[in-house]
Amino acid sequence: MAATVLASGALGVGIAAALAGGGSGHAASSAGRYGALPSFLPTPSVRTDAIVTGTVRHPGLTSQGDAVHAVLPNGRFVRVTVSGPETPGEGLPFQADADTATWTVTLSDASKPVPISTKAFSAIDSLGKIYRPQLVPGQPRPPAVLRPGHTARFELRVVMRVGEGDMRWAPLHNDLLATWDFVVEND
Amino acid sequence: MQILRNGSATPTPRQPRRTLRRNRTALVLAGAAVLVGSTAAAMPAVASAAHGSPKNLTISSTGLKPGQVKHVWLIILENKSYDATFTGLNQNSYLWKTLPKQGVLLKNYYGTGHSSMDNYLSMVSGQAPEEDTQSDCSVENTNFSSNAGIVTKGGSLKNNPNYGQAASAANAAQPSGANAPNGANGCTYPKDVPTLFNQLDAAGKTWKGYAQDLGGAQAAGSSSFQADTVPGRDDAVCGGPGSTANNPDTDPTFLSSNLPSGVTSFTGAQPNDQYVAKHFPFPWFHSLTGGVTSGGTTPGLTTPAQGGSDCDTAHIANLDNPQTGLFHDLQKSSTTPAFSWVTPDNCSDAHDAICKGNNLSGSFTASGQPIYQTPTPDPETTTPKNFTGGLYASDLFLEYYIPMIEKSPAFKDGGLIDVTFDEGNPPFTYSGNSFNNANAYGPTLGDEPNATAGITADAAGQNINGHNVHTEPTGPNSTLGTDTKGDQLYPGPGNNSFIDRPPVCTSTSPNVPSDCVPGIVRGGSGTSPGTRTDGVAGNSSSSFIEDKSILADDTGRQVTDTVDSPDPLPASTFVGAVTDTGPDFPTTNTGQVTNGSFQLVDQSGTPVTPTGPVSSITLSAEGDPGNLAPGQTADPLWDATHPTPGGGDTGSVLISPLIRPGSVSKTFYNHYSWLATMEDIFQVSNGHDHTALPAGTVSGGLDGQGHLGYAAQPGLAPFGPDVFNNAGHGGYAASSSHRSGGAAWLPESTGGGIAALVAAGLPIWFRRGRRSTASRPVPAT
Repeated sequence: MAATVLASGALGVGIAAALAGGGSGHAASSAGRYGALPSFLPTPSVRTDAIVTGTVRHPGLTSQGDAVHAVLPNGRFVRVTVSGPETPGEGLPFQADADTATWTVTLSDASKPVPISTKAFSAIDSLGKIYRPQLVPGQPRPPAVLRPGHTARFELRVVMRVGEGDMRWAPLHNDLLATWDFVVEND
Repeated sequence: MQILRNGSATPTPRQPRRTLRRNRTALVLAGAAVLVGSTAAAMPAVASAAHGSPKNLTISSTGLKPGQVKHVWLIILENKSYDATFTGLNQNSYLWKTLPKQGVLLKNYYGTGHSSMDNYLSMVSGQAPEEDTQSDCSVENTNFSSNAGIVTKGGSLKNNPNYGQAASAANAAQPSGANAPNGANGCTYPKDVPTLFNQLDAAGKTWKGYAQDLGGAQAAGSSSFQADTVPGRDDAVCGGPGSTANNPDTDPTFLSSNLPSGVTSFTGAQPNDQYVAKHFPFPWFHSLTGGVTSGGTTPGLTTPAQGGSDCDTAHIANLDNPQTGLFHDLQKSSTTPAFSWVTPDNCSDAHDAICKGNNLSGSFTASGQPIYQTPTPDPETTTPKNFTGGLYASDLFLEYYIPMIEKSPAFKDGGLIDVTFDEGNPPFTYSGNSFNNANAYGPTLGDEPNATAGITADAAGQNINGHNVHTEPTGPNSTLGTDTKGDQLYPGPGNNSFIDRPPVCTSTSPNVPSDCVPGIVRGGSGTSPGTRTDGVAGNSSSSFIEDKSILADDTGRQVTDTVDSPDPLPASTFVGAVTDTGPDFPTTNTGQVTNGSFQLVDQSGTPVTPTGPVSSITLSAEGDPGNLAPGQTADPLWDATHPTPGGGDTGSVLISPLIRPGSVSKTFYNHYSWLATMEDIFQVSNGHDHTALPAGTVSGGLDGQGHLGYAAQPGLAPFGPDVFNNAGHGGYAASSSHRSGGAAWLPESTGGGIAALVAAGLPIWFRRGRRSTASRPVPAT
């Protein structure tokens, strides 16, 4: 997939955006035919799948696929989502200890111009090894700056150990703003 | 494990220290004065309600009265550890934030092996893992074992721990008599290995297996349901892989070669069909599928309560089928099966990080409510907003289907929803809480890997005779034998998935080398690294060496320099703390992006400064920490003695009118405990099928109490009053008017049932007063 710059809202990624999308418009009540939720179940006190806020003091921590509302200095903020990794060769009789992992990164809803650098993303595996994923070959580089009203999407790739890991975004020197937990699966 | 200087390795107790959490309820104990707390509630069976027991007696030690649970829905997800799922990594998840507040969170629920498929089969049959099912039947679906291969020696589990297990025909060719490799054993169990579903048949209980995408996905925008959109992929009997012609008797399906047209994978999802048979237990038992001979087909072991066969459309269904699917069946209690098995597809079960097909993200309103299409919900007909998988996708699935179940009349009247996982992937830092590493930008001392912590990911857990234990039986196929030195020879159910084991000795004469184990079956373990030479940069001004290849687990390896002259490194120089800097973007296609560095230290950890430029170093080979050969240094992941007996802690959530919202249990349970619980809930021992099998009977199980396989382990605790903690007074009323403000406790009940319980010597629970638990937070760890 080529790196793209899209008009804001054209392709919302992240569960809140997904839920806001509405679907087919016929919010049918077929399940209501036989009843409502039982009274003993507590009323949800938290909205699940709300967007996590990440700051330098309290980086956002969530699972892959979820969006983080990242707060940068000088009143800037941006929504960042990392999805993946996607891996090839799933379900083969022989499963290697490492696999090619590809993530999709989406930045949107910037309040002011926000610099974009693929260098700001790094992955760490269960042994503490740090990986520097690179732009998938053939893609144009993402814009150096994300401007308000635009969306940038690009794919990063690295060969890394199978198992659990974290993808980190540190756009300000080495200060983390967001971390996404993931599992490299090839079974 | 404690490594001794003399080279021997001495196991040390690994059982974690756990704090008993007392339930704030009054406990009346009759008979023996046995203390029962919320975590000690898993007692050995003290009574059985089998065979026409009085109404108020509890069933075994579940604390439930016969018939209190009328309907069960089991929803099984994939490959997440408790640490990754329930301790905060998923800040916003429905699974972590909402569902435990509706029911009970089992903090110590364990898988029974690695990898996936063996767990599903253990859950429904009590059969332990074997290598082909541990490898997800990735080669060919041939028959596993035979009726004659079922272990009968000893006559009971008390006399023979393998009693009632099907032994692989390939074991005989193995030096150990077990542990035949993947592809040599087969995948489908013989007819005389019964399952929970055969027991339900014989007990007159209804059941159904629902699988999302069974037969293929529904196309976005489609207006009518199609039952078989990908012919030849899921069409073998009971949802087995292959075509209708495929069967393990006469036409086995090849899982990874000779794929038919239109099928890109049987064991992984494809865009138009994300169902994978390895996550659906039904096709893997001849007791359900029956058999095929040259003369035709033979029936399964039992006949369903409503007639037909176990693999017909009344028992095996696509989840969204408007005629036989979940929503159709939920309309009335009378149309809802007593037991419902729900297998989400390989996207919705959190397996795939990026989904091949629909993840249901287009199936919610702007306010987050699921869109239930009229007349039948079919979320795949909506266009997904994205293809994100993992726990994001499983949340979408759960948010769609769990409220559908909770609104049904069957749930409100003795319903029980169980959301669980098959096995646990290791927590990220091996520290017990993945959250710990969230803000670390590089390896720290706290992140250092070590073998003992790594093995935790392969841990087992269950409760035997009232004690939480980290062991479980392995069965005759995937054993845990050791040699005379105590070194592990076989990987066991945990399959050495997350540690390094010694290599196999290539020569044992005249002496066995100290750094290898003759005949070891290494399973999924990694290999201790050999020597490695890195191009580096260092000089006499600093003790730090820039090394783009340095890893966190290289710490402790000896460093030599055979290139630079004169040798700038003193003898006995080692890798100290490892850090990574950068990123460093290469200018050539052979460059590396990691710009790591480490500090040179001596044997006592004191920094060492080179005497001149350093351009190349050689790291020592790693080896057995207790038997290091000259020049080797310790492999921090190497372990020769600790077993890998299980599938790791996954956690589990159960919701029911018979369970207090927001409660927690720390008792150890596993898939065998789950099977015993289901058998007790539905009182399968009251069934009519007592025809002798090679081991036990369908209705009586192996122990005469209705427990199959390792669910019949003497003293194994099913889910107890720590789980069904609101059963003593009948559970919550079946009101449908949703109240805000949380749980509505029923008045304390001290009715006539107590007298019967006291007389039987059973624990009885009642509440002291009115208390809402709806807002009680679920502990984060």
